[in-house]
Amino acid sequence: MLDFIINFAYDWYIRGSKKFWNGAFGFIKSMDSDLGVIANIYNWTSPLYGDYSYGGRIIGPIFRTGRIFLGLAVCAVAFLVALAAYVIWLALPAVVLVMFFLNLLTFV
Amino acid sequence: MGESSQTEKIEKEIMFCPFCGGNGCVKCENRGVWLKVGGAKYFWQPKTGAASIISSVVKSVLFALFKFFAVIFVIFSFWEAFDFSLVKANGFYPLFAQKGPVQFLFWSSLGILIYWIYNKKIKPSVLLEGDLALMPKVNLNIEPFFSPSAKSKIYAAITLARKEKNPGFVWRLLKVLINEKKMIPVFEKLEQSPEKISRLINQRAASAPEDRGAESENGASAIPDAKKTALLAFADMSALGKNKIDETCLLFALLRFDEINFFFEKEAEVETSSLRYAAFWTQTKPSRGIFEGLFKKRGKRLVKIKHRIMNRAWTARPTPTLDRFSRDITDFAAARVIAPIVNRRQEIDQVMRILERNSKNNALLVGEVGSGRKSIVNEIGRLIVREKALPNLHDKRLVALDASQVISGVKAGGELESRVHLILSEIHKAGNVILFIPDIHNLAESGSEYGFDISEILAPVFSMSAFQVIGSTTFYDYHRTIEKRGDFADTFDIIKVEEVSPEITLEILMREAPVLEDKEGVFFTFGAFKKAVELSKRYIFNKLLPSKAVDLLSEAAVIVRTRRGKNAVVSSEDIANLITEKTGVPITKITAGEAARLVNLESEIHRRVIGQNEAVRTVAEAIKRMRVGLRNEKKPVGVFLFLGPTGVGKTELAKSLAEVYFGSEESMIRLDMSEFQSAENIDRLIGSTDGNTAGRLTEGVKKQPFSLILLDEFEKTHPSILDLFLQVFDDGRLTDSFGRTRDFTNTIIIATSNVGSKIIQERLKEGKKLEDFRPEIEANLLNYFKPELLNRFNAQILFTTLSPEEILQIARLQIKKLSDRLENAQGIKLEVLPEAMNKITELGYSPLYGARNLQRVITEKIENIIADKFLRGEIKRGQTFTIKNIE
Repeated sequence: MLDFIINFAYDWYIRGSKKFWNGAFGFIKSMDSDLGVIANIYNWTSPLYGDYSYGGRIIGPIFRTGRIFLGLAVCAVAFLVALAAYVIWLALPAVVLVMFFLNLLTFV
Repeated sequence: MGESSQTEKIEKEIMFCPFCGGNGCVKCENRGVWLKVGGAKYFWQPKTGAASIISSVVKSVLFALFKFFAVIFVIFSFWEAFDFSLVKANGFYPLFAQKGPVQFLFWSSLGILIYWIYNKKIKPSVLLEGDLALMPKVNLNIEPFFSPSAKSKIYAAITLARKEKNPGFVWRLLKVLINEKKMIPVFEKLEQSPEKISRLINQRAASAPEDRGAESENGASAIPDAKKTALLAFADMSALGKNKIDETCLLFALLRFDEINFFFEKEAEVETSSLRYAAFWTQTKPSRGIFEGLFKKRGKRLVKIKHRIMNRAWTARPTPTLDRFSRDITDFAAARVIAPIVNRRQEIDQVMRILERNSKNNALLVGEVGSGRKSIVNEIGRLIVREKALPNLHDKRLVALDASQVISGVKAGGELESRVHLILSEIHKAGNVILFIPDIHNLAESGSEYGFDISEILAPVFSMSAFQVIGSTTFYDYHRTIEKRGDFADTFDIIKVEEVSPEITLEILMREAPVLEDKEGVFFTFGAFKKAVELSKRYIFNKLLPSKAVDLLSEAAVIVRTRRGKNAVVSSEDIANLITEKTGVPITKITAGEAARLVNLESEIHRRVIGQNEAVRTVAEAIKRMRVGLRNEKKPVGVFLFLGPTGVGKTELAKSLAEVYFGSEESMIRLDMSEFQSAENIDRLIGSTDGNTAGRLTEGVKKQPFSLILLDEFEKTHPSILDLFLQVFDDGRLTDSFGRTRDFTNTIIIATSNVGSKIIQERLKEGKKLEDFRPEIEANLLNYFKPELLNRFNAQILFTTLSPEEILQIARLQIKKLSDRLENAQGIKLEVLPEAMNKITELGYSPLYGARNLQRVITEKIENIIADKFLRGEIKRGQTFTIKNIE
């Protein structure tokens, strides 16, 4: 039993956390293939649509800045949701165990 | 599958307890047998007593019931908690703040759910990488890895061994496995009757000697071998990348036992390698259960291809002109209509590395048709979409330009030039396009009709490295078109795409098969795959593996469906039939009728060739050897040197051989070697490097790989050209002027020569026998041919001069042919009386020219007269024209 508890705790909190965050960051990264935050940071000074006129060179960074912030905001929301889910993940076994026994006591 | 070497290695690590021999004792803690891999030790501690077996079965039933009720319980509890009184009315708060039966149900259900998530998703599998050698140092009981059905098979075999009081466990397990429903398709795929195999196994199991650990008549122990088999199955499970020991793993494990291996290979005549493949393939094939219709619908649904121009960084620009003449591979990859490629990792990495560079970032894939050049490019497109390509290629479009569309409809040179300029300019400005030009030689050489060369426009643009280009071409077209356009050729790095191996092709076929089976409504046997690979490699030369094997399988599927209807089985014999239909070469199993014909082959040839018994016997024997598979497949079917005076039947024998073996006289490539008397004539034999002269020999063999090659007057060939034939006769191949290898392994080569004919005539006149003056002829041959060339002939056959009786028989034969022709064409029968026949023989025979004049005499003395009389109306249809005498 003790073995099971130790293994469970290790797997749930260490391995499980690793898996969880790998998945969460993978999801956020996959969101970037649509949001293009990293691509816009790299190309911040490049004009949009290959428009190398003066106007194009000025407008480019302005639009890109907007897009980067918007993208970051979406990523931040996704991160916060993941963080909340992670807190639930961490708390869940303990909460379930406590609540199970507290409710069990009502039958005693 | 690649498991054999690893498991061979593993088998050596099987250890038995020296005290109990594997039955289990106190000293080995009842483990008995171990599988040792690196620092890890695995054992199987089964509970094999009758009570244990029953308790195990009861346990598994109870566990299944428990799982069922747990699911019902969780659903019910959540339903109660959410719907009944709590959450719906007051939110989640009461679940935490209040206590009661509903809350208890909810939290205990959540506990079960957590345990389920932990068990399924988080708890590490002991076999992480499918490689036991990589496992941490553990001492592990493999009991949890058994699927219930596999374990029940082992128990059944142990029970059977106990019942029969024979510890021959492996035979009992095999018996149990073979009677398993799942195994029937495996043997059907191998074109074997499951009943026959089962009968053979029952016979062998009954007579099998006691394997190991027999204690006494009633205490015979099958345990050590049961444990050994289980551990080997565990190793196979790991090698096959599975996470449960199932029946396939058990079968693989049994095949590690010498006696089982020997049984399948020698007694049941089933190749164990094929059995492994078939078992693996059948058991891992996608389910054809109740969801089949659903998958079919998904597979056949119309996929909408969305065209994406813009990249994530918004730096790209639209490319309307390019889009008109191209197909965006990344669009297709994004729609998931491009299947992943098998193998070719090396070539794909090479191409991506070239594209990743800052300069000279253009790759040229050079390979024969069907070698998989397009698949490589498609795979790169797939990797780009999945962001698995190298960083510089991320977020790019891979666009295949259709050169023929670019060229078509152009009315003036200027139009073509401006069209190409516009496309290149669009690509340059877009900045996110990787250009793929299939068959780039077509584009490179276009424009010449308008007085310019497109390659001169492309070369400077490609050399700027402003965008990446992938081209594809064949070896022939590379030499012919691209290599001589130096500047253009220099812009590319060449990657050779070679033919894939037969083993990889087999894997590709196994992957493609379910799609083909669904499409055509037929089923393939494993033998059909093997035959498709083997025969397409040997008999199809205009394409490469894997495409020629895939095409062969598809064609066979269509033929079988149309001839035998849906759900028919495509077997190896169907593939062999198809190859025979395509090539005319008899490669199907020898039927009783054909066997009789082969036995009488000499008399069959003698129906056309009169006399020359030794020559006919030698070639007939060669054909028989070849037909029963005794020939060396890396050499031509036969290489013969026919020696003798003119007009004695050398060419006639060659023709009759072409008819008998290749089905028709037309399957003969005839070269008059007197046309190759100088070294410069080599171009006419293997082609010139500038491509202006086609090689008569190499091109002839390319068009007719199954043919008889007749090299007339071989002694007149220039010595340097003769040297070429050393390779042809010995290796069965010849390289043409473009470096393409031509295959001669399916040809019969006959060289004829008049060398020594004078000696033959004189010695025969002196009344000597052939064998008496053969050494003299052979010595004389050395004046014309090198010994190494002469040694490469399978036989040097001497043709004797024809006797007057033989000439008479030839005359009869030719008159018979003429008579048949006349009757078919004009309905007139021809009768030549003996006196006239003798006269024809007399006029047609010459000691110097043999029977060569016979045909001329028949033409002059009979055919001309008949034609004349027919035109004058003196003979009519239905009449018989009799020739009594010849003037």
